[in-house]
Amino acid sequence: MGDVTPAIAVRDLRKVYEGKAAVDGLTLTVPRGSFFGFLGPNGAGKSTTIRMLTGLIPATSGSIELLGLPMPAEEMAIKQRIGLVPDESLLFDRLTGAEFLEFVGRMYNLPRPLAMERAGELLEIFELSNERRKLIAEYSKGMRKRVAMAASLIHRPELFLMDEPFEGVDAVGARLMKEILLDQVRHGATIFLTSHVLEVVERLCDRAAIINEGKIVADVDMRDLRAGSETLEDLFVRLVTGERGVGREFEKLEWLA
Amino acid sequence: MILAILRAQVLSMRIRRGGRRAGAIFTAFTSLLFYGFWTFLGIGVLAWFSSPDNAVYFTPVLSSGLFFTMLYWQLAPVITAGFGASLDLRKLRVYPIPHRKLFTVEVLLRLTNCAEMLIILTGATIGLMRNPASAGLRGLLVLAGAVLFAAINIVLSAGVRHWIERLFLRTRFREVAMILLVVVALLPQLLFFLNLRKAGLLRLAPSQIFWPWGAVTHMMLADRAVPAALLVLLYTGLAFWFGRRQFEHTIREDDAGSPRKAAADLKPAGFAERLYRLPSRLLRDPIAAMTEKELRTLFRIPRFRIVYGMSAVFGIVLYLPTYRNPRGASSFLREHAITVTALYGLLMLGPISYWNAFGFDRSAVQGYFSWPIRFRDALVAKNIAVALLLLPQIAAIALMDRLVRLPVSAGNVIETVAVILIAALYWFGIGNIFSVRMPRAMDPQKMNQMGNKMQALSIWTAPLLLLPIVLAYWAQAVFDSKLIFAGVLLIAAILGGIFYYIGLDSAVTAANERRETMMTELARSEGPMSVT
Repeated sequence: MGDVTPAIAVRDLRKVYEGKAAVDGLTLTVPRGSFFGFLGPNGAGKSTTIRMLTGLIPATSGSIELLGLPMPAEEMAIKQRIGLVPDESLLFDRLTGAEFLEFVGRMYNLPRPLAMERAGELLEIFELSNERRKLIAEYSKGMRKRVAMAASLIHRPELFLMDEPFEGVDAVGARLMKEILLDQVRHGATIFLTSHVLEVVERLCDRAAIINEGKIVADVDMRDLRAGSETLEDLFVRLVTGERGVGREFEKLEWLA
Repeated sequence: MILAILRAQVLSMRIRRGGRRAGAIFTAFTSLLFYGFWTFLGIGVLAWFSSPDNAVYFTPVLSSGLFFTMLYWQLAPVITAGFGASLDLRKLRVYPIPHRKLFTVEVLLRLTNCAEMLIILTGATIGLMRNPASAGLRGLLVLAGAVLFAAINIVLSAGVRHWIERLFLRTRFREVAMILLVVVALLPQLLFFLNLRKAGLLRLAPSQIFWPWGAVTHMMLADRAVPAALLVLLYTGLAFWFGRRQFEHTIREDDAGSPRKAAADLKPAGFAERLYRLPSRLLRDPIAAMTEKELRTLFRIPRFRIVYGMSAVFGIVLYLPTYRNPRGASSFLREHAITVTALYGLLMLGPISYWNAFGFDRSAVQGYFSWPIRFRDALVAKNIAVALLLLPQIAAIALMDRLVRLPVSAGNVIETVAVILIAALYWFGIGNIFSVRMPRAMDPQKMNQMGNKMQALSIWTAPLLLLPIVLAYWAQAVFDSKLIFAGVLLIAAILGGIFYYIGLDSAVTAANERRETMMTELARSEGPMSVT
């Protein structure tokens, strides 16, 4: 029987900056093997949440458990089992794509020959083998995202934490990345991603939570949503803007007309 | 428009969430020390030029002084890879701003580097104007000469900056070109060292009117004032033309796309690759992997390569006259030329490596906190990488010393390796703390770091940090025994090890407490200017 503990279990998580809560009492459970979307407007607290989950920043209060292990007490064991694609670049610009992937593999205790072998295979899969000897500094934004995702896969993690993984990626690259992620879920991995492209979340995820001003305002089962008449975008705008809706104040600016 | 750019920059530099407070205090402190020192010197210069008794020496002293001022003004930023603030043209080019206005701001920004030379020049100018010999019209000539000399240097340094930054993006032999530039600029030392005939040297003396500094001297001292003034105006025009032309070249290249885009594939194998893989033969992962990554990274950063090359060459050339003297205190320098130059090289590497170890990693620093590794290992790997780089540097210095016929022996080289590695323990110990507590993002393509001030801080802290090593040499001199020297050096090594361990421990603790601040600082983007 497989492990029944959730992939992510967060209780009453708070992060306060100078008296203002960026994340305010967040409680969330993500079952293993799910594809989970974490949505919210700019500045809602999505990246802060992911950073707390990965141990990059400490929480002000609350508890985090990843793969049944408490963070930060079991930080090393957790890090060994998660794959991360952060919002800020985690790439070393002065390494080539192949060197970087090998380097990351070795950070996860892979022996050098195995890390090199996997690096080559991942570059092939992500259609970067022609660029393998170019410095990452020369890569386009989409290529950088692809390398970042390849790096998150190299140690075969059980849980992926991804902050805007498709940002700047072209349609072909995005399709490829989605297929790889779906395949990972089929093989039992859990994916927790943030994205501003709601159509992507609607199509890929089986569940999504919407965060606004540091608080969860909806926890949506995608099957229910698809069965209804409201799209994820409609729901998102309604929950985030309330009765105000999307403003049309720009019409009042005569010089802009 | 110019004010709007400056305002945007000031707003971009506001302290956010207290993250930069420690850095700001440190910057203020080093600035105070640095400029305090130059102001003190400037006051001395003022007093000397005020005295009518010294008038007989004015021509040689002023011309030599202006020569060294110009040399420092143009060369110090190149050597330390620290050109001060500059416009980030990529951010500003999208707006319809006339080039001449951008150039004006760029020229004004040149005041942010080598302001120390302005202080010295101001001291000399006020001193000369206070001197009774410079009453009336002569006072005006002094002022005009000084202003034009400053203008020449400011505009010329704007041109040099753009020329060098473009050179960095383009040629494969840029490092060699840069080193040649420095050697050419240090020709006076070479000439002195080579002991040429006096008459020959005099024809090239700084006081000759055809040099820019010579013409300014003649103008300021009202000696052949008219031809001197005409020459100064000519040099000013040439400097302006050069500065503006280089600035326009940069803009044109930006428009045409960065030459980096056309970068070729890196060769998969070869000597360099074997060198990069060396740590993996000696160490275990993750330290081996991180050391390897560090070596690859540093060697692929042009500004690091420049400073690394300079540190092997510049120290020797600069101190050649001192090394030459076989008598007195300088005989010690001559006997230990390799050690002294290698120590100087270690100091020069500081600001672009161990004083700010994560500067080039920028936002990727979060990797050290998100991978399953100990942060301590990351710092150790960075230190090992620099230590490994010191060994070929010592070999290069030994080779250079051999070329200029300074004493080189196997014992000399072994002693230098020991002394440098021990000194490195002290500097790395402090550097690790600085790297964590005051991290600053560095752009590998830009030459805008606070090079001069950091170098100065390194040099000023040197006597304290090098005290155990100095004691070893002192013991050797007093007891005339190599054995005692080795014994004291061993104690210095043990103390250095303890110092390093404490520094590392403190840095790791600080990194765990401040990881968020560190990541914010290193991911920080700049305003319309580059001033990190």
